[in-house]
Amino acid sequence: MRIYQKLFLTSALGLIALVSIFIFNSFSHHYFTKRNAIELQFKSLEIAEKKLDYDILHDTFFLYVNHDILNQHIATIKEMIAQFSTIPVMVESHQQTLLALNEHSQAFEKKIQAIYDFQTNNTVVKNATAAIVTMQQRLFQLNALVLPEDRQALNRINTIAGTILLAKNAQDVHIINTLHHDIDVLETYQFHDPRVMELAKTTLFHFNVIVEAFPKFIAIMSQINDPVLVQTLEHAKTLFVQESEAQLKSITHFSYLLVLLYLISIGMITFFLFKSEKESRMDALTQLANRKAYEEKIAHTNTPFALILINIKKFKHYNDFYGIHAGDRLLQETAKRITRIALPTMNPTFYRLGADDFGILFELPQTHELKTIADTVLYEFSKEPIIIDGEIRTPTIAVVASASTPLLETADMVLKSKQQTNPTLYNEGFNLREIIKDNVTKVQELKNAFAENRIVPFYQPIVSGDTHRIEKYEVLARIILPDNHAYSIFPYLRIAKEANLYSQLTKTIIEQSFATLALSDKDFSINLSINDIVNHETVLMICDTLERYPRIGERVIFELLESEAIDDYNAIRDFITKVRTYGCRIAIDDFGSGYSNFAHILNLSIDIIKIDGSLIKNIDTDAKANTIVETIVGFARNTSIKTVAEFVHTKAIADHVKNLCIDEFQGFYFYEPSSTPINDDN
Amino acid sequence: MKFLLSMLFCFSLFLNANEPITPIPEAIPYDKSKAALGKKLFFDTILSKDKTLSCASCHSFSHGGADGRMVSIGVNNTQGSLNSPTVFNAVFNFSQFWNGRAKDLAEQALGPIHNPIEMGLSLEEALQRLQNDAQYQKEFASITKHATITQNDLAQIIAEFEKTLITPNAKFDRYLMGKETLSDEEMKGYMLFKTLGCVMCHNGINVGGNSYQKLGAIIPMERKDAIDDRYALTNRESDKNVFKVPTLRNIALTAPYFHDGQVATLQEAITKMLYHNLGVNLSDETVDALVAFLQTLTGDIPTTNQ
Repeated sequence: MRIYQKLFLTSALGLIALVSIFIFNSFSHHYFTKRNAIELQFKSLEIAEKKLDYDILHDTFFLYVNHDILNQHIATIKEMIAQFSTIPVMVESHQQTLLALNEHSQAFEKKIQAIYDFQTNNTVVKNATAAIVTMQQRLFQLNALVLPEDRQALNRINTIAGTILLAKNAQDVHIINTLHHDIDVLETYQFHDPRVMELAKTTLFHFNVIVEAFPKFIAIMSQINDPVLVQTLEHAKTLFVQESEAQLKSITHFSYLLVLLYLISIGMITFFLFKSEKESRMDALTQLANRKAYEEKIAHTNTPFALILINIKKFKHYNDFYGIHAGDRLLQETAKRITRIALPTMNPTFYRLGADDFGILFELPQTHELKTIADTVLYEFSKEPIIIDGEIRTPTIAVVASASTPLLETADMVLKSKQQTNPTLYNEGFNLREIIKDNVTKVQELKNAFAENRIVPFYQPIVSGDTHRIEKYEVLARIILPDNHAYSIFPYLRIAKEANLYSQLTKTIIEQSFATLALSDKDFSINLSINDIVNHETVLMICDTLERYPRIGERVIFELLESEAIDDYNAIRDFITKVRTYGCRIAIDDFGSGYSNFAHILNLSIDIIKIDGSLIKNIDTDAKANTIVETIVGFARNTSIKTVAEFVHTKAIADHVKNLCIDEFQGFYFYEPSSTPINDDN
Repeated sequence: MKFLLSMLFCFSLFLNANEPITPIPEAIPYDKSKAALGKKLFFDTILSKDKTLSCASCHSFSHGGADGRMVSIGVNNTQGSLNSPTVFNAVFNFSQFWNGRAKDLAEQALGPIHNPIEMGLSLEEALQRLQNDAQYQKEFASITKHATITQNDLAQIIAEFEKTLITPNAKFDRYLMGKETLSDEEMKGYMLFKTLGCVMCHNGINVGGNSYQKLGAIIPMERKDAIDDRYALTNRESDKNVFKVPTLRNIALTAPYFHDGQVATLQEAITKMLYHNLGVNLSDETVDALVAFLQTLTGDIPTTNQ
């Protein structure tokens, strides 16, 4: 799955989770605010109903009454109850509660009727009671008119009045019931004084009113205080809470979903992370572990690992020849083959460590030898052919084994040193690290030398065979090291080629030597390699220098290595043609040390042959060498080519080569190379 | 509306705490366009069968919002059995009709229109007449935002006009608000009104109109059959001769008195009330003082041109 798809998937999930959280949030918020609001409304309703009860009680005690107050309460409560069914949440999710509230509403309607009856009845009771008190007052004023025989009746009136007040205070209807007898007696009683009689009659009226109205009053009060009202409201509240809890369930379920989504997201991220990590440790093409995995495996471990490094030889050529696609196939097949190599009990792990490098990391048991294992690997790899597209394409592999840390570096060193053996084991003797260190040092020395003009030409005179007089000089490149001694440039040549300093080397030697020898009249020879000859700039530089000093070309001899002359015949030929136009001559250096090709020499029209030092060195004692040299000299004389003997280091050799009629001699017996051309003119 | 009244009530309580009677406000909010149309309808005889009667015929502004006759006369000279209650301040009553069978002004408004012994016009025909009148149709439509005039529309609009018929600034109200003092006689009358127990039924913002009470609570009063008392609604013995307490505001203007209009003068009304409902016979001075007090309850009468 591409990164974009992964990103999209994760983002989509994240977005869903975000939206879900938002929905959940607004749902919970909505739920809780609505629930709180409704519970508050229940509370308000309760309070309003309590206020109503309070004011009803107030009306029973207080004489002055404003019926508007109770009517207000009734209207408010009715509105509050009706309000519940206008709330959308109630209608949607609280049907039971609404039903219960309806019951409560019906109970309240009954209470309203009771309140109206109360208002009617209470008026009567209070009025009658007040009137009775007034009557008592009046009767007392008329006390003088009451005759003794009426006194008992009067007392009876007083008693009844007192009892009524007591009953009213006690709200006890039973006390009223005790008055019937006394009232009956008074009904038929005649007071003597007509005014007293009048008062008594009126008083009796009020008594009867009370006796009739007061029980009704008590009944109405119990109707007003019917617990069913409170019960229905409580019931509605309970149902509301229950129904809300049920709604909460969906919040809970939703939150479970959210948690699940969250876990899935985390799971996905973790999965992708792990996958990513895994992929970053795997080579996609071959499915082997990669360099990164290898580094991790060997880091911080005490296990004694060993590494077998396998390189496909000339893989680049294969790639170029068969195409990249075939190259990939080869890598895959190689990887497969390598992983099938059995190394039991050694816990091998397989890696692709480079473009065409593979590695097997394993625990080297003490019972086994590294060499044996390396041999096994080589054998197992090649014992069956690797077939690609119906063709046998088993690659040639170089196998290197190392048990010395750092494993990969040491194995690689061996590989790079292009050893001839296969498999090759790393050992301390390679000293490859030293070699590398040495290379680096030499490069720096070389660079410093260039910078400080310490690359200088030395001149070794070559003498005539007859006269032993100096005929010419060979220009030899020297490097003056910081110890102020001059050393041959030879050890630095490979370095110079690697470090792209070779042409610079040639240039400085040619410039310096030409400048010096322009003042001389003698011939001089310069060593050139194929690297110089195929380097366009170097050839240009040589031509420029030849032109800078007029007619100097006639004194210049270019020495070329025999092996190079053969290998790169065409390039040499072109060069020779070019410099001949300046009058330069060509000498073949180290002739006779390898495969000597006379035909080539003739075709190139060589002017001089320098006989290889290895032949001259022991010519006085080595008969074979002597024969060879004789042959060369004979050939040269027949073709008008001059000969030069190198390495003439003793008188015996000097005498010997004179006898062979070699034209010129070069060697320590005569002259050593010196920093300025030696002059023997005197 | 109820909220409004409760607010007014609380406000009035504040002014004269503990007095069982509270003053009427100067004005109450109402819908002007509805009230204007309602006023037109109130005075329009189109709403009676023979087009001789309007609401104002029995709720006359020159008779304190009531009828000067004992009982009102309907179409075809039919006689009713009840004295017309005043339309003034009816908005403050806790229910409408003598027995409270309508819960508010709107519920009451259509009753007299189709009552055969009152305006005798069926509601369908009433609505038809209004619909056919281009002006009425236009005015109704502009208020209700629909083309057809409904019963509810008619009731609501008449009620909105009746809402405006309040009579503030009665002397007693101004006394309650601390803006005026009562004469000694008037003060004596008020004190008697309270101590005798009149205030137990006639209290609140409308000095009545807020509870059901028995006429003849102490000493029973004769009851005619087929009278529209509470018994006619509830069928309970105890509800015979129980009526909604009428308002005493503008009582000096709304003779004759009681549900059947049997009492011609205020003095007689007071005397009868004292006897039947309080069981006392009192002197003429007492009655006169009470009359003086009752006369302070007359407020600003709405004009017919507003």
